[in-house]
Amino acid sequence: MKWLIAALFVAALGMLIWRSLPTPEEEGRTTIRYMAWGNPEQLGAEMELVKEFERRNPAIHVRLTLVPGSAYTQKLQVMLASGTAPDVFRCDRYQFPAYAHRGYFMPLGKFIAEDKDFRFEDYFDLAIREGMYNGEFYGMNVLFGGRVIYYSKTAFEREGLTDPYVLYKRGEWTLDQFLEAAKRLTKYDERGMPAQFGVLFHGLEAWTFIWGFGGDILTPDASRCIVNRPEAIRALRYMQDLQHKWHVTPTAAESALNAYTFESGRIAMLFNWAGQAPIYRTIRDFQWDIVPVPACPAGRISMIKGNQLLMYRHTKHPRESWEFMKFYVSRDGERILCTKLRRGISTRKDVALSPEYLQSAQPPFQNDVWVDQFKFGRELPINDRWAHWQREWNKWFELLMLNRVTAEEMAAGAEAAINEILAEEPF
Amino acid sequence: MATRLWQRPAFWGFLFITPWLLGYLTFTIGPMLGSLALSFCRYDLANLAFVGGANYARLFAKDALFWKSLWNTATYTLFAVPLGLTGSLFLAVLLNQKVKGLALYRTLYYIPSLVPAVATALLWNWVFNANFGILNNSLRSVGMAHPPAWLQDPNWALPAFIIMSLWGIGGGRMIIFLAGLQGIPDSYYEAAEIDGAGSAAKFVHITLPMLTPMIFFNMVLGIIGSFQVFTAAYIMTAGGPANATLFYVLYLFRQAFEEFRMGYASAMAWVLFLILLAFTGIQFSQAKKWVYYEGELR
Repeated sequence: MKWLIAALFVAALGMLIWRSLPTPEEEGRTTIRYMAWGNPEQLGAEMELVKEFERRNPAIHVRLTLVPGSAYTQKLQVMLASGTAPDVFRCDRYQFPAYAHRGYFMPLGKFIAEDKDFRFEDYFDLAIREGMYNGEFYGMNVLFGGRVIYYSKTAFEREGLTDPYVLYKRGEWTLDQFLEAAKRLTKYDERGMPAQFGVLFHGLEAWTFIWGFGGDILTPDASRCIVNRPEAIRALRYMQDLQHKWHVTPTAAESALNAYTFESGRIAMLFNWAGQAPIYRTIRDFQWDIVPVPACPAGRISMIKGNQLLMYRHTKHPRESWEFMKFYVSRDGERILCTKLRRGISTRKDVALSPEYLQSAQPPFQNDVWVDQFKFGRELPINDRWAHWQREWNKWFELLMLNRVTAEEMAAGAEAAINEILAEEPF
Repeated sequence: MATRLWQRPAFWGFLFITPWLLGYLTFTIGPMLGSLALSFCRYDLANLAFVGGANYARLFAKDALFWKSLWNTATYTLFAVPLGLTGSLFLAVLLNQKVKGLALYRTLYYIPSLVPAVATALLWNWVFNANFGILNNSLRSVGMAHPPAWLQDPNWALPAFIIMSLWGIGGGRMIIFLAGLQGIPDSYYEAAEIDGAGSAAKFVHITLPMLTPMIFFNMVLGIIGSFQVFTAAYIMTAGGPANATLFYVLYLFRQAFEEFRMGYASAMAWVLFLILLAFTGIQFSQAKKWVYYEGELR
């Protein structure tokens, strides 16, 4: 009993001492709050970045709040609406225009104008464009990435196929080569069950293929849907055929519960974002790397999307927040995130094109593929209405991939429904 | 002589329930009134504008998904509630028999209802898996070459949810039936036996009438609960495929927390409230015709 009392006394004393320690503010430091989400590797890098920033800026303390990705959007939205948002935070591109529309973010123009260390020319134009809203610059682009194909080099070698990266370098990585590889890489076991599929793609790939076939889903100003045109219909039919005619990609039923994943070696080619690379680095059973999306009839176009690093409009520490944001996308900041973690494409030209970034000791090794995204990448036309029409698109795309409607029916149905939504005043 | 305030029993009653009353007013009545006001506004958490009855007008006149979600929910309710009531009653009757190991059986049948909703949803995701789920494997083993794709098939996804709703038949509903069964005096059955009544006649003419208050209670709560089905659809199908499992509350949630149409979602919430109020009112008005309360004079 007396040991218990002693332990409680020591614990209480410890609490008292801890509570009486000076907080950063009491030490004369300014505390800014920074909120982000990510996988453990990402968050490790964020912490390293914060630590390095604090070392260089001893008068600023960054309180890092890490929120699980699944809850991040709602938490950020509630914080913004209730006026308790952190000084600096990351925001997915999908939400950025809708939030910017509501005036939650601090425009960065005046900071940039007064800061000699920051120059737009250091960054790729595409990355800067994503941070703009209605002609105003709000968001530094971080965790930038394009849609690439992760592929099993081992599977290609085993099948005697030419490595797609070699084909790409020769200018021969086309839709025909892609389909040929997908067919040959689809394997069945002795029971007739698919053991390996040639390719797996997400509904988002509709953009890649529709653009590649020369069509589009929306007009450039994203005010109208224009998918019901021959080019887009051909692309939709091609995607449907990949599943239902050539059977080189699993159906929704087959791929449920992650029955076929790239990590398990049961998918030979996978369309995905740059952010998946750290996860695939844990693969030990086969060699893998990345290659751009294939060249389609109208060219090679891949989706590009980043996240925005933003400052809360009502922050009490705008200067300190700007310093942190600037460091985040500085040469040293991007080195931590992009060169060490290799989480995304550096938006800074000097980092992205440096040997340090291009030559990697761990997969992917073909890092020029990331950088090439800037040549043929196209940003998604995400605006503040994006979430409103996406559901209608997804419904029609699901029906297409379930083989319940033809490409023509999907295009006509989706275009009519989406245009009705876009024509309506927000409610 | 006038009684002082503190000498009145009601004073002490209200005083003791003050903490609850304050909580109820602050966290239930307050938000309800707030949402009623919001239902006449356009509110995206940043901008607020009064729009009159536009949200309600849009819901009824223009929103196909509103009707779709209402249809899905009503269909689900139409099947899940009667099936659930019948299943629970059947189990309760079974567990009311005098057999060896009864306590163990009761425990076993009650356990599924203790599994959290999220875990249940994940479990049924596996059960319904088209390729290697236990359900389709069983169907294949009895000769069905092409069993349904269940959650990936727009025609079968809603029936899958109805089947899944049977998971909860051994829960609280069954306990209420069991308590009701145990409250029926044996003398009723003995009298009926003397009159020559068989098992079926005793069940129809004694058990069922005596259980009508429990059936009524479970039905009212069952309809309210099934109109609010959410978790399983959110986790298992996200409303798909092609909106086949887009339930009302899931659609409401999306409007509020994914598309941030708080005013519109509030209008949806009030429509649901009125639907449930109407259903409950109808049930109560009809109850007099079929619910029998022991000792009640008619």
